[in-house]
Amino acid sequence: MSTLRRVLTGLALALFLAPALLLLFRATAPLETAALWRLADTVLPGYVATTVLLAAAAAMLALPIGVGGAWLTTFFEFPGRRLLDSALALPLVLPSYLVAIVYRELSHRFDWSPVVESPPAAAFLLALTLYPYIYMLTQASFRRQTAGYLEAGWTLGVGRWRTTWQILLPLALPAMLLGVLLVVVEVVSDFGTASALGLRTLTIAVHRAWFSQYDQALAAQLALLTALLPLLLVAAYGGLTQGRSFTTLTNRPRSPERQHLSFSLAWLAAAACSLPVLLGFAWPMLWLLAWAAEAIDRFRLRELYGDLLNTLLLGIGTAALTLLLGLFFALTARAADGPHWRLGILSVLSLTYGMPAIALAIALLFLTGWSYQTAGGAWLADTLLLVLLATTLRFTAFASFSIESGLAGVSPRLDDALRCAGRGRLHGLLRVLLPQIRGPLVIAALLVFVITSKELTLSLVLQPFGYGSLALSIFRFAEIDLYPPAALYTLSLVLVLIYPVLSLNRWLGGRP
Amino acid sequence: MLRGTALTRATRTRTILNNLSFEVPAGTTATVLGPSGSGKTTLLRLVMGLDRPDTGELRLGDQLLSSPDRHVPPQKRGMSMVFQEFTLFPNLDVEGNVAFGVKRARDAETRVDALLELLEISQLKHRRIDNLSGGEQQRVALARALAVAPRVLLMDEPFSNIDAMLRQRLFERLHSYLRANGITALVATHDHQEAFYFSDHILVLKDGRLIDHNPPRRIYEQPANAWVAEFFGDTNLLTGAELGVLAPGRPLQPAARYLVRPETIELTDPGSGAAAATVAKTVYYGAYQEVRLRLEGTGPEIRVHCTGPKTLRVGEQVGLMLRTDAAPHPINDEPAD
Repeated sequence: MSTLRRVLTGLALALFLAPALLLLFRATAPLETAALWRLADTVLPGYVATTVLLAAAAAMLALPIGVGGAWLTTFFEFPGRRLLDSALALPLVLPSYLVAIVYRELSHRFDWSPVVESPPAAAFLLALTLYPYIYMLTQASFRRQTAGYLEAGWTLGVGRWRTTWQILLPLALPAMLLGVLLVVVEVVSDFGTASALGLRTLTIAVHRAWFSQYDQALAAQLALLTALLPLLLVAAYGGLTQGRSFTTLTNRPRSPERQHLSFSLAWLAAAACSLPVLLGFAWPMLWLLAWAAEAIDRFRLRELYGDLLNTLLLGIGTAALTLLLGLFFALTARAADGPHWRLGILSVLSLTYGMPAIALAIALLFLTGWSYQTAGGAWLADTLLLVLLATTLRFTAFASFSIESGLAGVSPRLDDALRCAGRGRLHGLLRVLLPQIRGPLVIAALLVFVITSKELTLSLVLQPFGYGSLALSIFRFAEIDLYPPAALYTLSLVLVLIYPVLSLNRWLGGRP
Repeated sequence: MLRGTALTRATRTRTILNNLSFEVPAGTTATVLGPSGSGKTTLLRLVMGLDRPDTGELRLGDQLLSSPDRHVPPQKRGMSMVFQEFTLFPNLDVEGNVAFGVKRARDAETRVDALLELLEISQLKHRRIDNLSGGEQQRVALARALAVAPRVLLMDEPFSNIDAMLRQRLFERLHSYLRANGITALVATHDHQEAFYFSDHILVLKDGRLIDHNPPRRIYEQPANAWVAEFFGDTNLLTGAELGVLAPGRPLQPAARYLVRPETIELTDPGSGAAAATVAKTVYYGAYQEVRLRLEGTGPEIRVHCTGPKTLRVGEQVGLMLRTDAAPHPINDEPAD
C-alpha cells in the first residue's frame, strides 16, 4: 500500500472518528456531572429502561416477521407468493413516526389511546416498519447460497426441515443479526415515533437537554450513554460472526424448487405474509390517501417542490459520497497486507454508524458552533452541506461493507492480472473491477438513498436556516395535528422511495 | 439395474438431454463421458431426482423413480451424489459433514472414521471446511456421499481437483469399496483415462444425445463413429485402399474408412518390405514418441506412437506396417444413434 494511500486513509478515518472524540471531549472537559447525577436519581433509569426495552422488543418482534417472510417466500409456493415477495419490503417506504401517528389517531377514535401510546405498542409499530431490513437481508442470504445446500441434503437422504434447521438457518444467521442490528440502531436513533407516542427514550432526553435545558455537557453525556447500546451490539456482532458472512453479494443466486404446500397451509402462508404488509403499509396508506384527499384542492405545490428537491439532493448526494468513500475504504482494505487496516476501517465506520443519530447530530452542532467562530464558517452551518456531511458520516458504513462484501467474491488474482495488463489502475478499476461488483454498488446506493430520504433526527437537530425536506415537513405538520398536508408530503415521499425500495429488494435477492 | 428410457429434458432455448436410453447393471460402475455442455451433469441430476424429465422414465430395479407423472423425491431414492462444486456445509466441520446423512447415530462415528481413512483424510476430522484445499474438500464430499450407504452413487467429476499420484491410489481404493459393497455408480467425467479405469460401461454423450454405450475396450477399439474414436485418443482414419498398403493381403473394402490406432502401427527399417514413409514431425510425450509420417507418393499423414530408445528425426526414411494382431475397425462417420 502506498504512503499516499496510507495518509489519505488515515485522514479520512480521523474525519469519521472526529464526532465521537468531539462528543467525548465536550462531555468530560470540564467534567460537570451534577446535572447527570440529578437525572440519574430521578428519570434517567426510566429513559434507559424504555430505550433498551423498546429496542429489544422491536428487534424480537421484527425478527420472526422478517425471517418468516424470507423463509416462506424463498422455499414455498403459495397463492400470491410473487406479489408478496416484493410487497413485504414495502413498509420500508413509510416513516415509522407516521405509521405511529396513523395508529395513534385510530386509537383515539376507538378510545384505545393508553394501549397504543405505550412502549409495547411502540415496539410493535417500529417492528412493523423496520422488519424489511431483516426480511431483505435474510432472503438475500437464502437466495444466494442455500439452494445448493438443500439439494445436498436431499442427496444424503435428509429432508427439508432438518437441512433448514441445521444448515440454512445457521448460515443465514450473520444476515439476520445484521438486520437486527440495523433495527436496533434505527430504534435507538428514532425521535419521531417516541415523540408521537409520548415515550421517554434517551434520544428524547438528549433532545431536551440541548433544546430545552441548553445544557451542552449534559446533552453530550446523555448522547454518549445513548451510543452505548448500539455500540455494544456492533461489537457483539463482530465477535459473534468473526467477520464470517458465509456469503458474498457476488454469489450467483439460485432458488431451490419451491415446495407446494397443502391447500390450508398455502393460504395460511399467504395470510402470514400478507399481515405485516397490511398492517405496516396498506392500512396506513389508506388513511394517508383519505387525509390527502381532504387537502389536495387547497395545497400549494411550490412548497412541496422545494422539500422534494432537497430530499432528492440529499439522498443522491449522500449515496454518491458514501459510494466514493466506501469504495476508497474497501479498496484500501483489499490492498493492505495484513488485517489491521481492514479492522481499523471496520471499527471506525461501525462506531460512526453505531452512534445514534442524535449523538452524531450533537457532535456536529459542536462543530458548527466552532465553525461560526472562525471566518466564513457559516457556510457549513447554514446550508444543506451540514446535513450532507452528517448523513455521509453516518451511512458510509453501508457502502463500505456492501462493496467489501462484493470484492470478497472477486479473486485477488484479478488484481495481479490487472497489474500485468499494462494499463493504468483507474482503467482496470473502471473497466474490470467495478463491473464485477455492480450489484453491491447498486445495493449500497439504493440503501443509502432510501435511509437518507427518510432520515428525520439528523435533519431535525441540525436543520440549517431555511432548510426543509419531505421528512422534516411531514413531522412538523403531524406535530401540530395537520394530517392532510402531512399525508400529501408522505405520499410524495412514498412516490420517491417505492421504486428504490422494490429495486433494493430485487438486487439483494439477485434478481435485478 | 438402473434403467433410463427415452429421457428428454429441455429448456426454452435448447434440448439438454435428447431421447436418452441406457442401462447400468446393479453393482457395476458406468461413466458418463462427453465434452462440456454435453448433458452429463443434467443426466446425473435427473437420476438423483433433483430435476425431472420432460418425457421418458427412470427405474431402479422394479421401482419407477421418474416419469412425467411420477417423481420419487431425491431423499427417498436411496442414492447419494458428489457435486462438482462439492457443496459442503460451511458451518459444520469435516466430521459433521460426513456424518450429516447417517441415520443411526451409533453407526456414525465408526463409519465416518472408516471413510476418512479410506480417502486418507483422517487427520482433517475436526477441521473447518474453509481451511481445506480443493482436493481435500473433494474427498470430504466423497466420504459424505459414501457415508449414507447408497444403493446408487452419483459422482460429478469426483477427482478433478486431486493430484495425479493420489488420484491413482484413490481410484483403486474407491473401486474396491464400491465392488465390496455392491454399490452401483454413475460417474460424470471428461477424462477418458478416469473412465477407462473405473468403468464397466461408458456412456458417451454429445449435445445431449447418447452416441455410444459399451465397455471401455469396445469403445476404444470399435467406437460408434469417428467423433467417439477421436474423443478417446489419437486416430488414423484411412480408406481400405490406403490401409492396404500397410497391411497387404488383408480383406478390406477399398472405399470403406477404417480406424487404426497409432500404437497398432509398427515402424521397421526402410526397404524391409514394409510401406515406405518419411518422418514429417515428431513430438516427445515421455512414455512414447508421436511420429507423423507421410507415405510415399501422395498418401495421407499417419500417426504412430513409438516406445523404446530410438529417436527419429524429421526427413528420415522408415518402413510402416500394421501389427498382425491389430484389427482395423470400419468407421461409420454418421453418429450411431
